[in-house]
Amino acid sequence: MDLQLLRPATPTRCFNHPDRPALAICVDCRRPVCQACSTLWEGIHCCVDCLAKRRAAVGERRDTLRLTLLTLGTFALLAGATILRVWIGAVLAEVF
Amino acid sequence: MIRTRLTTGAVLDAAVDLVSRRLPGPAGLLILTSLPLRFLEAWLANRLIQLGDDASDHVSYLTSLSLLVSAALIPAIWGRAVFARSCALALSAGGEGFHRLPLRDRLRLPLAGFLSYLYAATFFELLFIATEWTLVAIPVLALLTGLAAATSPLEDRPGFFASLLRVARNARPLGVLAGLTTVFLFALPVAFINLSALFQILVWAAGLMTGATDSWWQAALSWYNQQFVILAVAGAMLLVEPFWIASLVVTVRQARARQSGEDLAAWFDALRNRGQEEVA
Repeated sequence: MDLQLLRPATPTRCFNHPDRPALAICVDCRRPVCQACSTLWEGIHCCVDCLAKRRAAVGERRDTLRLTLLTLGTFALLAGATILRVWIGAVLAEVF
Repeated sequence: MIRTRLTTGAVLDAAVDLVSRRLPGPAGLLILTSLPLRFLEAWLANRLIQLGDDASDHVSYLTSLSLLVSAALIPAIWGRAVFARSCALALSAGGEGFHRLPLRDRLRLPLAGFLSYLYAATFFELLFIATEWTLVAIPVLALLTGLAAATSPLEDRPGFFASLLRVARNARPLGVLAGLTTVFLFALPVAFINLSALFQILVWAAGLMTGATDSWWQAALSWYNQQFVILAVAGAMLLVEPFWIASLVVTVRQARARQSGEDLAAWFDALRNRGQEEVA
């Protein structure tokens, strides 16, 4: 057995803090991060930048969903206005 | 230091200055985009009056007309949003700053903001249709619809209730808003009288030049012609709308500036610049 393979690996340093040892590797960008820089997102480690990107993506999906629901709501209101305009118009025309 | 009160007269002066001197182009765009809506509404009203008791027998025809009115509402709302944004930009950047923007940027609206405003405008349109028969609700809903347009440049996050709450939060000062609503309630019949008188004068002048009297046009463009009266009402609304929206944008901006202290900061900057100019 090659004894060199049993040699312990050189401790990796944090990408943002070279004086600190890295705790984990960011799953998205593969950079080593220390405890302060790492956040668990759904069970996986993310660095600060990748965490911000994931949060922005979730925010965009929520906004897209809200906009879609708003558009559907607007079309429903327009349909209601179309029918109500005729109904009330006909009633008023008959009354007056 | 005494802060001058926000008055209806001051708002109207600022609005007239905006529409007639600084933003005639966007005001023209607002009128152009509202033209199809107003004329289709006039057409539908005229048909309902003509049908009278038989209106319920022509539901499919009236529904197709109403559908055209609803379709014409969308470009009209876009025109209002562009105009309100132009007013807001002109008030913050100054007229010259606004005119330096490329035309595409002046016409472009943020999608989320526009969809939020479209939703709020359609909601108030539905409420207006449901309550117009009460007559009392007409000025209230005209005010809410105008405030929805005036606050559309402030839209940032889309939401079912966010747009409506934004209108409610910016509905101040109530005294100025009530004053503006009263002024424009009188302005509409004045605009109607002026517009119909203008047509009468044009027909009379044409009669003088051609020598024809008692022409078909004199009968068509008189107050005895129901279609002409309805069209003149639509025309009066088109003429008054830019001033109405501009007044509300000015009111909302000034009320917000007073609440945040932005007006005092602008006043100090103006004083400082004047002082520096005098020293120089």
